[in-house]
Amino acid sequence: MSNASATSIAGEDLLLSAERAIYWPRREMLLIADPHFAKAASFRALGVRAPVGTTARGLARIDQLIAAHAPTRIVFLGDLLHAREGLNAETFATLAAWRRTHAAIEMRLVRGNHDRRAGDPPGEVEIACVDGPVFDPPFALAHHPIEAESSYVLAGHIHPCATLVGTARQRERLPCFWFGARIGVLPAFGEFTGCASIQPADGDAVWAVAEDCVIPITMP
Amino acid sequence: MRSLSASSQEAERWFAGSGWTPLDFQREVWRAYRDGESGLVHAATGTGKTLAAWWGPLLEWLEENPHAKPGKVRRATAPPLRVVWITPLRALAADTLKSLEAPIEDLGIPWTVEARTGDTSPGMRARQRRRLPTALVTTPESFTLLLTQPNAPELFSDLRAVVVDEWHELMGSKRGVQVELALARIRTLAPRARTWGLSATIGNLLDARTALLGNMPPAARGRIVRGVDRKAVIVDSLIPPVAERFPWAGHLGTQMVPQVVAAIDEGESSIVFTNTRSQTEIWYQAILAKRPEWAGSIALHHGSLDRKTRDWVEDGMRKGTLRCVVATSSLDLGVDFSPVDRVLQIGSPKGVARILQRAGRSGHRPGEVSRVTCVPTNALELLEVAAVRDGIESGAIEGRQQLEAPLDVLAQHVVTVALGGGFVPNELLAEVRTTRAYADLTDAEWAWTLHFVGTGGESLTAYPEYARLELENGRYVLNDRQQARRHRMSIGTIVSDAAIVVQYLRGGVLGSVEESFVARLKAGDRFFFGGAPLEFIRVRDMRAWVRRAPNTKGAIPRWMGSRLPLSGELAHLLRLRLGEAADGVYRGAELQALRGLLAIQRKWSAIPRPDEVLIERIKSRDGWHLFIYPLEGRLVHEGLAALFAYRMSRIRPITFVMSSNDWGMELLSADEPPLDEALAGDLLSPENLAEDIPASLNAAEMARRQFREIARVAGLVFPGFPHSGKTARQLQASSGLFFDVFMKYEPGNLLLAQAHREVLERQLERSRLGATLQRLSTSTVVVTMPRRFSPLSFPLLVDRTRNKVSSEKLSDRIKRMQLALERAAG
Repeated sequence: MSNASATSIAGEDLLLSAERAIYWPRREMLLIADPHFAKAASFRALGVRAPVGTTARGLARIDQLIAAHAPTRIVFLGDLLHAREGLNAETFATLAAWRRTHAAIEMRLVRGNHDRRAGDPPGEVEIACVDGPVFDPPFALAHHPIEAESSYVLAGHIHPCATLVGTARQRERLPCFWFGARIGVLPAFGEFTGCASIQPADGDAVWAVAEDCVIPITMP
Repeated sequence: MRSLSASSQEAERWFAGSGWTPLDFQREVWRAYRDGESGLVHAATGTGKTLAAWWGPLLEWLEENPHAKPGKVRRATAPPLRVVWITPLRALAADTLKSLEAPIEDLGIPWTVEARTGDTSPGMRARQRRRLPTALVTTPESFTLLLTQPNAPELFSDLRAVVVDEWHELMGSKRGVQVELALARIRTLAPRARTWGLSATIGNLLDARTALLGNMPPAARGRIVRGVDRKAVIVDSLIPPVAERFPWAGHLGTQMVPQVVAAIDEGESSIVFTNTRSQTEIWYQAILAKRPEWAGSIALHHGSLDRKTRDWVEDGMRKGTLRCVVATSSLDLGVDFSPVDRVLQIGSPKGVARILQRAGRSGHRPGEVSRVTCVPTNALELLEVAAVRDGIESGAIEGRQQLEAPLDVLAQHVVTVALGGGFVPNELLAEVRTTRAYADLTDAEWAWTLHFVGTGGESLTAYPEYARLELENGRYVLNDRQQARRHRMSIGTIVSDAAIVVQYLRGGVLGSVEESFVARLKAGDRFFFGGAPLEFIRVRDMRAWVRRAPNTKGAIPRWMGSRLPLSGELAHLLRLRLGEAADGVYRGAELQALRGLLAIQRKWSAIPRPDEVLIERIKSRDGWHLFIYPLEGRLVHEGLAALFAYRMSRIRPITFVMSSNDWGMELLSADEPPLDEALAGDLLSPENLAEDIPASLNAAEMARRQFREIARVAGLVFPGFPHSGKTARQLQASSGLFFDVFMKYEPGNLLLAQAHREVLERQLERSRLGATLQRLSTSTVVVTMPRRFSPLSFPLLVDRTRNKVSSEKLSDRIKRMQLALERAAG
């Protein structure tokens, strides 16, 4: 199992998992942003031969997170499903079967831009879908990283990654958690997703996901 | 055969009227063509290859139509498509068209002759869709596009000849393989069509013939016709007046501008060749800054410019109204600029064949010699000029390396055939195997390719959403119109990365640049393109919108894929020259000019002899530098750098960042590298290469980079439609992402295997890699510890392309790193 690093945001203890998710112990809540399930299936439906198994593996990674942290609720911070084209009976059957194995866990989706086009998962998947942000003090759980009044926003959408430099001209680009003064952004959970380099401000905290570790990054 | 001799007389009369006599090799080609033979003609440029190939089909028609009368030529009544003329550059199409039209008009042959390239107007395309001309001048991409038309079999039913111009330029590239497959298709669709290739003289003509005509039994292999030999070629160089102050490194050095301007002044009309498109822009600006009064009489020319601009430049060259054109390889080929009397080459000549070709652009008038003047941009390039002259004297002309069974091109071709009338798998397999590239294609590779393009097949269950091709009456066809459109759009992408059109806000199109350059621009950034200073506004609809900027400093677009390596032949000659210098022999003006610099190299470090390998180790603020100089050309060095880094990283955890150039490589590390242990062990050993090379390439992630092109050609990554909606955008993923998910979910994917193979064979020239290690392992290793960076190491220090090999745990490594602050991010 991958490691998690502890940090404190807005007075709350959070665990940053190397599986690119956050566990919030006080609320027994797992936060996952941008899984983009069925993305490869969308590609295939439109005639591009993307590999099979990305969705199943994504769900298996959530299984591992559940086994490690035993959450009672999971909130997806948007872009659960990539596109309508990838949605078919088999995708939904896979999702519903997976959902049944975790029937006791409450699951919620804060809709993202992709979800709005792809549509909500069908009823049997039993994921409650809402437009964000969802307030769970001190946090506002959202897809778009937009400031919210009197709450610290936890969001996804931008798929952040950090470019690191070292001596002897070394360079690395890694997915990261990025916590600013009022907004924190999670890395994209999905493996078949790209990422965007970030430009943090002074005082921001950046944690890079380096294989199975989450490591705080020194600011220049 | 009375009619034939009658038509032959017409040919003789026409030639006499033009002031020429047919040459023996031209007659040989006509005879062979008449007898139904295919073949390959090799000769220097400007010696009549075009007429050799063109008159075969003309004579054939005259023979078949002895009583045809000249009259008005109409599309509807002209004979259907008889000749396809393939040219590698669309810039050449207009010029080729003119030389083909001349005898047609003079003899009143009622043919239509037209071009069809990426530059052809939509109106002309539509007319051609209804009926093709009798003779069609086209590029490989546009030719392949014809094969996607559902009525492709009928289009070619009366085809008599396919001529492939400048075949040496195409072969050995994926575009060349695309042509091989298209020619195999033509052999099936039009069995009586003959194929003739026109080529410069190259080192491997027999391979060139097989690639062109396919793997045929001995009797049908086709003829090789040798044309006219080259005229005398002079190679000299502009030598800086104060050699000691000459820069040691730098591709951009324009210190030689005064001498270049003086040379242009001497001639009537000059071409200044550079090695990259970026250098074209830089030198154009530099020359203009020195001689502002030349505005309007100098121009620049490269493949990314808009067609109208290129046409204007080419016209000016032909008429002799332009004093000078700064150009890249886009002017290497074909186009005949008789007034040109001076050719200058900026930067390394890179290869013997290449410099001969460029020299051949001058001295077209009878009795003139071809002369090329090399302009070094750094000191070491002087040595390369001396070596290239040695190569011309000894006739060491390079061959063209061939590609083996690239499955991305095959996958694209299978979809092409599915659109162009459909196929029966076994029949298409037999056809594909007649090509040189796919002669050894295995059944498994074929089955995999079919599955990849979406024939469904046995593993259909694993791919529920994915069955692009449909089976109709035993033939696989592609009916989905959107996918057909996408396929047609991606056919042109073998040549380059997704190109972004550069356009003024007010409307005028300037040309195109690679997406990777535009991606780094912010609104308000300045850059030079086509000689014009521009301000970047925004990207929309696959276009970079710009406005004219006041003339000021700006970035120059860097185009990818334009860094040619030194040829193996030239590298060998270079080692010999360097060896002479080590013994104190300085032959020729170039070496005399380098005396001082080479003395510094010897004093601070050493000059390697041909039987030595020099390693310099230097500690600086940046870390520990190892410079190794095998002198084998950049591609081989990239492979060796990964291998050496990998072998040292097995001794202890360490991270190397490598860079390579034509002379050697640099391995940079934060900790002292275990060089002595590695040298005592297997560092230079030619043993275990079968395991070590793939492992080192994986470590350096070189296949991931190579996958970029493969993903594009195979249709995984799609450049996008100009006005596409959300659907297309949701279909976008980078090739790197595809590479990563395939590695994880489908490691058996043959496109990944292809990426690895291409890195080995094409990028790294595996055969040269092995041979180099053989040589190095028997060489004397000379390790020096210079106090300062030596003249040989200097160019490597400023090089920008870098690879990495590490045996440290990622998390350990990044604990010592910090966040990069850069403008381009965010």
